[in-house]
Amino acid sequence: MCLLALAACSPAGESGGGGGGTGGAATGDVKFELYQKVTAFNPFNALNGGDQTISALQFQPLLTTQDGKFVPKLAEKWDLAPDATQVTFHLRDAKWSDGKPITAKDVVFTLEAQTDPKTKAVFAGPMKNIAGAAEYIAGTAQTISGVSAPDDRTVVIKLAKPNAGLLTDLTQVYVVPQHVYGTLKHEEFKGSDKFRTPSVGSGAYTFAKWISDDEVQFQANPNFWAKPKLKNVYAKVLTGDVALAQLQTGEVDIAEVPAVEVNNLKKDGKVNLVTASGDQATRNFVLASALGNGKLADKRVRQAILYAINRQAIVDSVLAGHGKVPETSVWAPGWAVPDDLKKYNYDPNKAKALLAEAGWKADTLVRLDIVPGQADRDAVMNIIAGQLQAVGMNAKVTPHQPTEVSKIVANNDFDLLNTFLAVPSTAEPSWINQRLMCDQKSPAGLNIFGYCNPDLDALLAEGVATTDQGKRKDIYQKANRIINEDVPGIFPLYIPDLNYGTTKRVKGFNATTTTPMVNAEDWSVTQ
Amino acid sequence: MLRFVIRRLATSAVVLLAISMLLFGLIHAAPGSPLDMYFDPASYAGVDRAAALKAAEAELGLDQPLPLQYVYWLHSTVTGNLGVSTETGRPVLTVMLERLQNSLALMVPSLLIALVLGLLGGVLAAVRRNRPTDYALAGLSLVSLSIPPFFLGLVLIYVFGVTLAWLPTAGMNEPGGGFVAGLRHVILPACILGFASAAGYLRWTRSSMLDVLDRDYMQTARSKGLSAQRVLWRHGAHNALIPIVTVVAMSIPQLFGGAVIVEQIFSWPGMGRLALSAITTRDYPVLMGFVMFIALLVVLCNLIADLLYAVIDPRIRV
Repeated sequence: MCLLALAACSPAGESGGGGGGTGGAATGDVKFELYQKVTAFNPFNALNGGDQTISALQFQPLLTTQDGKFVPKLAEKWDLAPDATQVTFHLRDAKWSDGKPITAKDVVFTLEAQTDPKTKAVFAGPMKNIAGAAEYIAGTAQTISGVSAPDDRTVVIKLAKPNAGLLTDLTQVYVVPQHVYGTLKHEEFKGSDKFRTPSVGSGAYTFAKWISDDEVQFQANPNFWAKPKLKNVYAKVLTGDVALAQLQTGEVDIAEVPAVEVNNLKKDGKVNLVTASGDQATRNFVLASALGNGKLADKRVRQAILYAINRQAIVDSVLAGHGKVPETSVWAPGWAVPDDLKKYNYDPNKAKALLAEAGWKADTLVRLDIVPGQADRDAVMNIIAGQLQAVGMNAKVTPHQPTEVSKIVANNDFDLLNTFLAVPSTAEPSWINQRLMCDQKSPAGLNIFGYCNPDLDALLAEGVATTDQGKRKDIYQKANRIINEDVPGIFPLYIPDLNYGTTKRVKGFNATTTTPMVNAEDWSVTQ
Repeated sequence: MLRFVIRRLATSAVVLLAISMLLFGLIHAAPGSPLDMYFDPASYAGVDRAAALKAAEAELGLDQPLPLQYVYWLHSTVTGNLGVSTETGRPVLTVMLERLQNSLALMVPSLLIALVLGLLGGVLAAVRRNRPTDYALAGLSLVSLSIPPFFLGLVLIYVFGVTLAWLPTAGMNEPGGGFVAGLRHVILPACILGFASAAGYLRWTRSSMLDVLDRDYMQTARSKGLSAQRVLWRHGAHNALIPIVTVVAMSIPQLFGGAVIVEQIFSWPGMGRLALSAITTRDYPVLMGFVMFIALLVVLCNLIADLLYAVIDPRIRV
């Protein structure tokens, strides 16, 4: 046996069933970078962003967003009732990669699996609000009464409480085939081989095989409702610098580019840049604070912190100017942000004055919690530590291991944690409800800041209960004024531009979608 | 010989058992647990996090006292079941075998490069002792030992991969690539691993060779009228390489360790990267599987080195 030949054989991996042969004029390959480990095509128990990305290629949601607007996927049309308590989806005439039709039964199956606590789905929270979900979760009902399928291509979802953000929530639900996964019990989904090597999918490109356990090959799905323009798509897990190097040599076609490299790449000219910026950017880097421990309970102290940090200078130096400084945590959509927000410009004197007013004790330790390892975030924290110390706060950068961070968040024991808020869509502001409402205080919800303001609660509850655009604009702008003034445990630092680099041969890649791979049918290459 | 082997295997088993106990304790003593990576409280929008965590803990057996967990692990390991990864849910044995194949694909070429460069270089340096060739080789080996592999790796990737674009920058093969593409991908990482080991082998071989060259039997061979080549290789190098066998056998487990860095730089899907990610996510079953594999490898290589010694050198009796 020639061991040298091992090097040349494809790395050890497994194959899965793919959908038939490739069709017609589909040619070319695209290789894209995954920044995190991938383990399975399981949209319910996706381990992290990597798993979510590959699940988005294999399976499709009912709808998604791009450039701030909803884009139909499995659902051709939908009617959201004006009181936001019900939505009807009309499915398009589509087939799974094995030729069987995609029907309402698949959608119902997916929603039930998503809601069942036995599945331990990551995104089960919003499902609780479906009418009849409480009984289903408690086990007293076998199906969810609020989800019904009047015919094969129609799904009606009724809610217990109105939710104008329902459509955005559903962009995160990827529909799986009931005829493949119906035989599995919900608690068997996680770690199941059927999700590791899926035989059937609905995306433009479906799983062909694992080349090695950090590289996946997808092939064109001949039963997709549009014609895929490529033959194969490859996804590789790469670290940031390797991805950048490979982007320049052409070994990878699509990769995320850190802000500091953008100017160099522009100069080189070998790589195209596709950007989502400002209120199309889906991530807001913030300092999060657990208000429960009392250190930053005084609003003036929190405002002082924002005045003490020179956020624009951070964007200019660490991000080379490729970012925006928001004055509030709900930076998108644009219509939700009023023009008259207080501007927290760099003003250390004002910060000192506010701290004095609040009676801040100079020896109180303020921990800047961070998981070190990313150059730009480390740089930012060091800058912030210096600026806070300059106004008399005892701020210390406190490094943590990734596992520790989960712990301190669960224990509500963090002072200024470097993290980011990510939103699935920049078109809908109601994601903030999970973050700031009183009844969402962790562990019940994602309000890890422990913030509770009845006035804000009332506004947010109202905002999600109506679909009247004029009213919503008014409500969310009022809410943003409160958030801007109160600084509720979220200190907005900057919104970095989301930059993707693509080699010159790739066309049709868009960076503003919920996850970049969900519209892969638009990709093509020039040879 | 047989008695020797059996006695050795028995003591090895005891050693491995002791190592497994020590490592099990150490791994669990590290702060954090695999559960910390489950259900991230900042983004888990699922149902009832506390209950989900408790259920997961029971499922993984982490709520049992530590000695009991060890006994369960030992029991399943000796029956061939190394458990299931806490991160991905896949069987540890499957994951390790996949990665092992990829690691071997990197090790074998590096070992070949190391052996060829190191042994031949050492013989050459000894034969041309104190002449420019010797100084050059000794200097090169010193440089190779001093430069950290990660630095050399990044420099070579930049020069050959990005600037000259002669070789690929990372990965084991291109998607859909064949034998030749695979060879191109293995050149840089194998060279880096190989040079580091070659430097060590070169110095060992050189000093062993110098020792042999001064021996009486070398003079006897020359005076018998044998050709210089035959004297050098059949009588000189053959004897000089005996101690090298031990060095090489013991360096094989070290090669696995050194490969961790190289695999990370070149995104090579091998066991080193598996171990690194298992450490970060506190994936106990995978970690235990990996460290026991290395321990087993050391024990086996030790045994093989001793046996080879006895085979090559008829003066040694076991």
